[in-house]
Amino acid sequence: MVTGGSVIGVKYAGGAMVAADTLASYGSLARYEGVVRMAQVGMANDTILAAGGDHSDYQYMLKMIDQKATAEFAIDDGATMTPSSLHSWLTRIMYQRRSKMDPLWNSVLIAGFRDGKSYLGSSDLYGTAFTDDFMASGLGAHLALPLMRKGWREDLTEAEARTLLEDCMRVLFYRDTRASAYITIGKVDASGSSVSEPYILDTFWEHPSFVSGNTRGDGSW
Amino acid sequence: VRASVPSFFWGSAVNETRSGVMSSIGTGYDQSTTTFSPDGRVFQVEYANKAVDSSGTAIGIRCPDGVVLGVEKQKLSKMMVDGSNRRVFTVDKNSGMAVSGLMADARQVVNHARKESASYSDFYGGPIPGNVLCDRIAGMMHTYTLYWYVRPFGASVLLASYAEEGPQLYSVDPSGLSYRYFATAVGKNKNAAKSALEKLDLTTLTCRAAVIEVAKMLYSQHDPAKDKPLEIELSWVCDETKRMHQLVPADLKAEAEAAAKAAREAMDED
Repeated sequence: MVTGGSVIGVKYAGGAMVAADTLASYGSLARYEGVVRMAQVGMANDTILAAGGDHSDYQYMLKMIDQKATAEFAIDDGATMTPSSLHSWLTRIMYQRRSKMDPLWNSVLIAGFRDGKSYLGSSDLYGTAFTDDFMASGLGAHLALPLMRKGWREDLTEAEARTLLEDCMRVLFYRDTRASAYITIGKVDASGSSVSEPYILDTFWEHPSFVSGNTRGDGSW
Repeated sequence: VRASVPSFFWGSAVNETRSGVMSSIGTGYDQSTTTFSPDGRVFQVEYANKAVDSSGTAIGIRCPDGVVLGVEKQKLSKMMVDGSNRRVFTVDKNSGMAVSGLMADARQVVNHARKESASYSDFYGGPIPGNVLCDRIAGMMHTYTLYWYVRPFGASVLLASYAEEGPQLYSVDPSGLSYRYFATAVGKNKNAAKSALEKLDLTTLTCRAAVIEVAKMLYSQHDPAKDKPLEIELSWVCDETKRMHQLVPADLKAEAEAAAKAAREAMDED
């Protein structure tokens, strides 16, 4: 099974943002790089779905959502699926699949912006759903959430939100052995949604004990 | 005027078109869509076409940069909300349909087209090409002319598609015949519309200009004195909409209707 790693997200003043690295692993093998694990969904250009876990299940989800979005576009009656109703629908499907013992093996984040309010929600393979101001899946829940709890404010600007997410992704790259330094950021605000091209995070490796080694000679630090 | 002699044993009808030029007696051969007449006609299908010919006109124009569709809707009652009772439908992201005839039948054709487009995308991973969609719709409509326990669709559809193969316009009629067109019309004023279409230079007409031409044609055929109040629907799928089929924006529609009304007034003055 080809899997994606952590996904993290924050709400900021005027939007919501998610970040994920671009690695799809095959167990402990870093198999596919440059894999974008988030996408704009829906026809209203105001929702992003990002997923960790089984990448093929994520692709299947995107297909399902696209079918729904196309049907909605065709009916053309003015109603469009909101980020929160997409979250609810996806959660229901994930719960139904888990109840059949055939889960969509993912943890997903849904970021959206509708009617002047940002939305951030998560769902997992069990069908458990939450909404919050900042969220993280996978190892991010252990490593990134504490950093976000310290760094998050309701009036975060977009640049501050981006810095916060990048800092968290950097820590994940340092500490999660199944993470990569190439990330994408998905942003959604009043002007629409967008997913960035993959870019590499700056990382620092010139710690004294990395550079000069240690006097014990046993590789420990 | 139709003079019909109802009879249980032979449902005969003397038919005259609006112009009264052609009349055909379908005595005995027009009860079922599975019956040919001695001169090789299937009357039920011809009668289905009459349902189309007495319904509001639909016009389609294929331009180098996209396809435009327009329909005339007669507002049967002032109580009806503008924009309701749609006659132009989006089938898929890149395709749409304008319909003429019995609306209930037309909607079934649209639903079928939507299902075909969705299943094609699901299977082949891309938008359904216009000719494939047309063939599937035509095949279905033809199928309903082959069995006695169903009746033919009393609707003609104009299919506009702008997928990977470029802009395409097709017309499918109740017999299941389909043609690909540069421009065409169906419905009660189709002949007048077709002659107006023949005057256009379709190699250079842009979609924006075509929207205005369609509005002019729909307005010019409408007689405010005799016909019910007119409402038109205009849609396009073109480069400007990034190949997505949608109703034309409100400002363009207003511009088209203003030009159409002005053209009609100028014509009336002549």
